[in-house]
Amino acid sequence: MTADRPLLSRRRAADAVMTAVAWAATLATLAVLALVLFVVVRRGIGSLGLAIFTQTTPPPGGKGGLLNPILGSLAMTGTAVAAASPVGILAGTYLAEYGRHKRLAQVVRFLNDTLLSAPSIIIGLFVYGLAVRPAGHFSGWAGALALALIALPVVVRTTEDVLKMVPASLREAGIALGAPRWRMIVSIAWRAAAGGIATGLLLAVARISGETAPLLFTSLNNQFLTSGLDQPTASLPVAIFQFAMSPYPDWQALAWAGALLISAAVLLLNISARLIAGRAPM
Amino acid sequence: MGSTRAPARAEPRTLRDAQRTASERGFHSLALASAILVVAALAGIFALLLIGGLPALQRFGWRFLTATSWNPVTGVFGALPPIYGTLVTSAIAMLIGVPTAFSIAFFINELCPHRLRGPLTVGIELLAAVPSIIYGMWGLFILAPFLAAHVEPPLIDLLGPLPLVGALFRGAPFGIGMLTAGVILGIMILPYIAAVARQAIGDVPLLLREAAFAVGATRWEVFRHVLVPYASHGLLGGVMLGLGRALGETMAVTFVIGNAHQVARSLLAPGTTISATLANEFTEAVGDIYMSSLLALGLILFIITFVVLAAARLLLGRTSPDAAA
Amino acid sequence: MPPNLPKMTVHHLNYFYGQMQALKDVSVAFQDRRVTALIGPSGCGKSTLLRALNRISDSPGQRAEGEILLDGENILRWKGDLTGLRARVGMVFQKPTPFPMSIFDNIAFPISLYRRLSRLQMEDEVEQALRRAALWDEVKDKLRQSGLSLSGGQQQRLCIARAIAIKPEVLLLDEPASALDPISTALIDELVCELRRDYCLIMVTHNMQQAARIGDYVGFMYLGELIEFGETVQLFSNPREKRTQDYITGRFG
Repeated sequence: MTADRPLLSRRRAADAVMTAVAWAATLATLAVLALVLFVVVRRGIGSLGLAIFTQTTPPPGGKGGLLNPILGSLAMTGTAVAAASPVGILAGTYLAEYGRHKRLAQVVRFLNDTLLSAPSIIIGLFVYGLAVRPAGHFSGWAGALALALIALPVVVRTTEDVLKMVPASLREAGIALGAPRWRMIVSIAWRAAAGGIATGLLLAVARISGETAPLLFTSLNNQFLTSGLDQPTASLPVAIFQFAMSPYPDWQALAWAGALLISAAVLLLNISARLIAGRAPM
Repeated sequence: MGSTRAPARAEPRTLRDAQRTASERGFHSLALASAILVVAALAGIFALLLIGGLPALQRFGWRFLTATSWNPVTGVFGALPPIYGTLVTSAIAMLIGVPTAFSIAFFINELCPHRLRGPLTVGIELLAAVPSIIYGMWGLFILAPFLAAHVEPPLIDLLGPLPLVGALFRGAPFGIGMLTAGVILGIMILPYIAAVARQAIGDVPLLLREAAFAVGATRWEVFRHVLVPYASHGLLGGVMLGLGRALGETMAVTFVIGNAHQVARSLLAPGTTISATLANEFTEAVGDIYMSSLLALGLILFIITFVVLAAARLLLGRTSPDAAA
Repeated sequence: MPPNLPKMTVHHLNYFYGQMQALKDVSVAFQDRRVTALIGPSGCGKSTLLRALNRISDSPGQRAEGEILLDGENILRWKGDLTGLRARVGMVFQKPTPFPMSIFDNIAFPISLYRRLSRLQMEDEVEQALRRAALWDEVKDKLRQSGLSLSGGQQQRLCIARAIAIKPEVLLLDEPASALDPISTALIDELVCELRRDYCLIMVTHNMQQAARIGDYVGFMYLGELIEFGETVQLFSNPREKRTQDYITGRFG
């Protein structure tokens, strides 16, 4: 076809412009995001010292570290994942193994996906009403419960997804041996999907370890080290929030140190989840 | 899949059979109960917010949605400022996030050297995992001062005098306000939307892409006229997911929005969002009607995000994978 | 049948996917207004050859040595924008590939890439293309419907209509009927014979009957080499090469 020359040059120009725009957008985004991480690393490293890990949070004007928020975060995150894992794995198993064609499973799947991206502050409100108000005080348990509710849909979804990838032939082999369905699931399907399920758990830990909003109304904060989770409990994200919003430079420095710790933890968890998922046979 | 269904169960005849049936039933119930717990959690959230917010909604009626006063002393609460702030900041975020994310998807799928594709994809997905409090801090300490010094003054000078649009860019360049919050939100949801968009475009069959090149379309034309329409459901799903996040995001906003209960015409003015109001005031709320108003705010946020996220899921079409198979 | 001037000529073409050599020293001439069929077992390089002719699989890691001449011009030397090449060398794929737009726009979109037409002119062009592809009567009342709403055979004719709408000089057909039922296949064959009057047609097929029925020339390829090339009757009735004979008598492949 004899082409319209001006039209061709206009099309070429449009292609060149959009190509340039795409390059610019990608480079600009990478630059901004790199800048975010760079600032966190630079300011964080500057304030990172042994005291961060050995001293509790300072009183106004005093010196201190992040020991109690670190321990509080570890305890609440650990409790939350410990609670969410069995429930999440079982619910994911229901969706993948028992409920494939059931209406109920469709509803659960839909609501689970909604819960997965629901605003975490709403979860905080819910747990406040469910656990904090009836008990009359903020507590680490309430914080852990809020985090568990955020981790739950992550575990459900990844468990369902990886179980669905277990080949039908493996299941049939199990059933053909005369094993009851649940034995087949536990010893064949779960084992085959173990790498994927572990990935899901790691992603869940990564997701909740940076969550701040749901802890504001549940575990609140605590300036001191606590021996259990039945009192208000400090956490890294809430400590960061408190210190960053303060007018004192040494508190802001603590916030940056905390931000570095959390970013590093979250990125490491995500990377290891990817490595496990990449190595798993699935 | 019929193949995964258990073989027909015979009536239990021996003790062992009975045990087996019981254990199977037990496991099944346990799994079912766990699944129902997810539903219960969501239903519980809705119920609690509804019951908690009801007194405020009854007292103020529809005025709760339209009134602008937020006065704990007189006990008069109107939700318009936080709703307005939520919508405005999310709109700014989408204006920044969506075109940029689509450009990145275009870049990764169509333009970038083959070897960079994997690392870029992983990089974008990792950045989507960075906690929002990090973005919030960065916004407070780096972005807000930068915008106040280098972006807002020219905006005020250039756009402020214009009719209509000008009203959006008047006032003092504080750096703290709805514009900064929107920009931070945009940066934060960008990797999210980009990750979904990249995948949606990457899933377009190779043959269709080649067919579009075969009629002589340029890379941009192939993307714009063939790939984007083909992947439209996935792309829109990604946009809605991003919107859902922007609407409900708390920490990235709370740092930089200024927490002022006002409906300001200017984007540079401080404001508040639903989630920022909750984060700032919930633990200090005294008085039943104050508390109830906050819970009603939460209910409004829950309903808005639920609708948006439900739409996203329906568009992304994961809810009934079996129906399609 | 007296040979016309060759429309496309391939000289000593070597084609590589990374380390793997997919075509070995292939030389062949494609006549204008004739149908050339390329046959051979899968993996023999016939699709690679076809796809090299409009450089559709131009991507890093792939490399072509030799010459591919279109009216005497080496298309392997074309730099950058291949739009012009593809306007002259159209392609129809193994599976129907309607674009995600209306039936009308499936035809109008490629046309609009090359010419600015008024609405009326465009409608006229679309109708002509659909008529030539023997699809007009079936779709004239639903031009606004999605191209995906058509049956597989109709979709493939839509793709042929789309390819000829931009009036190319060469039309490449990559097993155009392999995903279709026998009736649709017959329709496509008829269409190809019809199009021979105006185009240089090059078709890859794994179906020897189809090659024998509609090809004027046939090339037999095996392990990346063009083993034998000749007029259809001659090649099928009296092949020079033993490997050709083995293949057409069904002894391998």
